[in-house]
Amino acid sequence: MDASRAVTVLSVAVVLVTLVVTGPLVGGSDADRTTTELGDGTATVERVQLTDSPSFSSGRFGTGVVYLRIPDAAVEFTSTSGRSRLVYRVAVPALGFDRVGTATVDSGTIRRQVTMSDRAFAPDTLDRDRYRVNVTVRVQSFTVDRTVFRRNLTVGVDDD
Amino acid sequence: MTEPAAGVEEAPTRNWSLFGDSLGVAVFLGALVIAGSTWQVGFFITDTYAVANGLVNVAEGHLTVDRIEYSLTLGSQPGLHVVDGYLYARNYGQAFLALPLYYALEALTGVARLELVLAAGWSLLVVAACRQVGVVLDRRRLFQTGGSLLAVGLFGASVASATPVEAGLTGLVALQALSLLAVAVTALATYRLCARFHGTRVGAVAGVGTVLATPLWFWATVPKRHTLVAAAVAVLLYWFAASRQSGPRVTLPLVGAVRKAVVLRSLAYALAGLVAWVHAFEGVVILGTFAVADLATASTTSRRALVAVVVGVSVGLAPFVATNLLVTGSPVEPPRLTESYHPNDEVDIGPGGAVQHDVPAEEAAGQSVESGGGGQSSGSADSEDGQAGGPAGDGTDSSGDGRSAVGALTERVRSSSAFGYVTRIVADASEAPSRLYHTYVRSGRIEDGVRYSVNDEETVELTLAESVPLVGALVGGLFGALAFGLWASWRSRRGRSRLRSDGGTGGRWPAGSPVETVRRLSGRIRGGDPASQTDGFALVAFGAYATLYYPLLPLQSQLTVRYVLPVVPALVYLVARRRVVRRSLAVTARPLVAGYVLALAAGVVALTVVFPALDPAVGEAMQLHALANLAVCGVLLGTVATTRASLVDDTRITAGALGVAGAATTLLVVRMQLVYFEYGTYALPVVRHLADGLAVSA
Repeated sequence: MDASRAVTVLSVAVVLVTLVVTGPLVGGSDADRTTTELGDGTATVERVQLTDSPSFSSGRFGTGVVYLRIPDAAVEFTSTSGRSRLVYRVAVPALGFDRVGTATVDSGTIRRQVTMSDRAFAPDTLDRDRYRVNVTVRVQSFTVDRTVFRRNLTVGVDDD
Repeated sequence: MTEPAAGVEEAPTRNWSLFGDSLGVAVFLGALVIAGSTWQVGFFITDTYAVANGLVNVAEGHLTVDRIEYSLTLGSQPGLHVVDGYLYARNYGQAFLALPLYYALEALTGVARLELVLAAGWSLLVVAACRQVGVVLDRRRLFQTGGSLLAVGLFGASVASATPVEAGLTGLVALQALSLLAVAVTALATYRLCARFHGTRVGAVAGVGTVLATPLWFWATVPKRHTLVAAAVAVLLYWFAASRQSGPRVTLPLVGAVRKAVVLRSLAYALAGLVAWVHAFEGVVILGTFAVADLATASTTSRRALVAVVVGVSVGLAPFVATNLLVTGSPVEPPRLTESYHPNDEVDIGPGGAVQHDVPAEEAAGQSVESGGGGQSSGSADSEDGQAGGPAGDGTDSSGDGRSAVGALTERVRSSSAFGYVTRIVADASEAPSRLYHTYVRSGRIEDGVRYSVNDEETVELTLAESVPLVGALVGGLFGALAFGLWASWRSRRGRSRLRSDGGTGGRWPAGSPVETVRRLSGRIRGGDPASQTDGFALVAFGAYATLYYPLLPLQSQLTVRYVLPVVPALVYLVARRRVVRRSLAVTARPLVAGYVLALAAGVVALTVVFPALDPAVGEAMQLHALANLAVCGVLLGTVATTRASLVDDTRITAGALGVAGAATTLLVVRMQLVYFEYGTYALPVVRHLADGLAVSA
């Protein structure tokens, strides 16, 4: 057997052994697989900022729609404990639009940014010049649910 | 690259190998590794739920869907049909074909975590692919050692960063694995087809190109029917090509000595018939086009050959007919054509996914209210209209319970399939230019026919040229040949008229009767060389698909015109057949590879620089790709046309342009999978992290 074959056999063996060792037969319990779940944590917020202000603008590159451009929410913490999450909610009631973005916050997190993609609207669905946009950010876990940021903005549709 | 074995035919007597040669194995493994690298375990299009449920129920030993294993919300799901109070899935061909993979995965998840099974499988494929590339390049030791170490590293990183995948998703994963295999088979068949006519270099470029330069990569792990049918088309093209010459005699058990060509034709008919099991209309179209092309060009139409054809068709259609008989009672009415299931029928789906029959009306109503709160759809392109499944797939039917099979069938045929189909084509004739333009050339916002609301109004539906700019080479070749032909005939006419100034340029063809013309034409087709005959089949197959889906397209959730995806391998083959393309690869594939790599690098740089500044939404990003790809398509078209018309002599420019076209699609499909459409858990998060590192997914 030449060296390359030996390396291959060894590699394949490593892969297969790891596969079995981490599997359900060899004590690989499901307990360590659920760490992404929400916990009992909490977080004290220092500052919440939108990276930009929400706006309506025409879609580019032939998309032929109007986009509600949604900024990210940037949150800075003074202290965090356990696992909680940020709930970033943007709603335009007149358009029936209501969307939530979340990001988990572990203890020790200093800064967290929640992103939300822009939302397209068919041009003929926008029949007003301006819309009310409600933005909230909450800290949420099994033990807390606190609104830490709330803005009711009026956003104009730039008609072009 | 190996030595080009241009024109070298495989050893005719004994070669029944599936892969042909070591390069074929490399293409196959490479396709699996590439297309598998971006695998997301998740449901991208909602009717996949129904097929996956069908698979799980078939594995339990019955065609009826008695247990809903997978669902987005409680209640109905697209692709679920009801016959006599029992639920059925829309597509059993796919479910049955995925069955072996399902059992294998079930067994493996008994000893290992599903997400790591996928990572391990892929890592082992990396070893095999690297080794095989080493064999081809005559550097086996180096590549095998490097590949092994790379695979261990990739697997280690996968273990460290793996996101858990529910073990219960084996049904979905089996369907995805089947689709992935189909893409690898497509690449292999395209390789063998092109290598057969033009040597292994052209073959390898075409085979790898089917993965890198077409949206097959994107659909590889989206378990719709498209990749399966694409594989069938690619294999049919290869078998068609291989059976145009009668070939040697082979001895088969029970049958005795027969020509190899006859065996291949029989197999091809069986395969075409099998497509009907997956999708009845596409099966009929493929069987029909194959039969026309085959019988028009067959090297032999002996009685024996015809018997082989009939046997092939019967065997291929048998599972389709059997399934139909068991489900609908009619051999020609597939489950897809039966009534779509809506809750509040006499069947209901309980909270645990158990299908309950004859639920009292109030209870059923209460159930559906409870289940009515379907969450806000988060992904794009996740729903498909019932109509989208096929020209006659519209499942709303008013015939109710007391319907005779024949009556219902007649009504259905009249209302939706052949008759309705022809009426629609005729009635929509005035729309043809706009339809074709928005299906094949430029998308943008398509006002007619596309319901953008199902995909959050995002303008994500691209055309064929925008998603496969490679097709520019086909059109360019055509234009170039036309221009060259006109110019040549003008020159020769001038030369001739100078010679015979007496005006004796009498008609070269005696005016024959139409019958005579047809006979001559059929003789010319039959006498043509196998490559031209295969070109004919490829063109007819594309034309048939374009016609089949013409009344439907453009359509929401087509993304890369997935409805014509099955004939994309035929287009790749036709591109590889262009004389200009072959000439550009005659000596070396280096300019092509250089064009591909440089364009890919340039694309990545452009993405990192331009995208953060533009901050495009999904629809805008897709349309930006579309415009860029269209420009690339135009450049390729121009390059190939001018080279073909002998205005440009340097074929390296064509080769480079082909590479750039391939890179444009690669960039699009990779971004689609890693950035624009995140619909599941990445089976290989390590690939995603690498992409992040390279800023591909910035």
